[in-house]
Amino acid sequence: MNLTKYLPLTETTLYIMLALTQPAHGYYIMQKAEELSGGRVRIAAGTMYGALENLLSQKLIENVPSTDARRKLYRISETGKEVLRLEIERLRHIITVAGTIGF
Amino acid sequence: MKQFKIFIDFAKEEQYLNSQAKKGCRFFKSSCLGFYHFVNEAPKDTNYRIDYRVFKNQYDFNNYVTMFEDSGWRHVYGTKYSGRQYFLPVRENAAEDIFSDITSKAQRYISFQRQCIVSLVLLSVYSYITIKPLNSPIFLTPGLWEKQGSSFWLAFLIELPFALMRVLPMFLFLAAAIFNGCLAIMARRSYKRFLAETKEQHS
Repeated sequence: MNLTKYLPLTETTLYIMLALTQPAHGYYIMQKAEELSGGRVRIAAGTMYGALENLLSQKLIENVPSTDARRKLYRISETGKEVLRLEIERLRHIITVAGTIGF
Repeated sequence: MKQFKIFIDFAKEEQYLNSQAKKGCRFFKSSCLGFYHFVNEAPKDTNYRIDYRVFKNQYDFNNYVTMFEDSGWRHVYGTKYSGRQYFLPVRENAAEDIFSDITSKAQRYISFQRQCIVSLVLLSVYSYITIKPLNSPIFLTPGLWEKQGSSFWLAFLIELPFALMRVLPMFLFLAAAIFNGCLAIMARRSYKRFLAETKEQHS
């Protein structure tokens, strides 16, 4: 499967996927994304829900069984991890190249 | 108190609910035919926010509502099939909006449009199924059209309600289908207008 079609990821998606390397429910992902981004990326509830639905339909994340009847648990899928790796590699390349040019 | 209104544009609907609250009418329910239900209360400044989503099951719906409640929004009204979901901020530190980017905020118009198209297709199928009786005579009384004078009118009037019942469903389904088609077109327009307006604000 050609995974590069998912790239580049938006900043929001990137932080959600990073947060989901551990199983988590919606509100926790919102807090985690804010924390990981140093307070810069604040995802509102409606946007968060839409983003999770999109990622689920792209099979980049998946649901795991939850003991809480009102909160689903989400986690990054194997495909999602592969896409995340490709994206980080892409970003790393940009940073390296930018460094050699003096930025 | 009840008011009949049809909104395509969510931003206008939010403004309407806020202005009603300012007049002392607290919104608590909307019914599918376009009725907004209010109770009288002290006037208040509010910040209603509306999302549009239809859910497959109760678990998905509960998960959605809980995500909002956890982040400081009260789910005021909405059911898993109602589409429109109404929210009010409850915490001081709740965000200003339920959306943090333009794409997701615009998506609600697309979800609404999709739902209208689904209804349009379903209603068209229903009206096609109910159109069948039109191939056969609508009045079934034998020799009705050969009758004369009062015996014709008597037979005609007796059968008229049944004849109407044979064709009415088709017209109702057809009218509802057309209505949903119009809603879908207007939802698309609202979507484009929303994108144009936000673009203008940012440039």
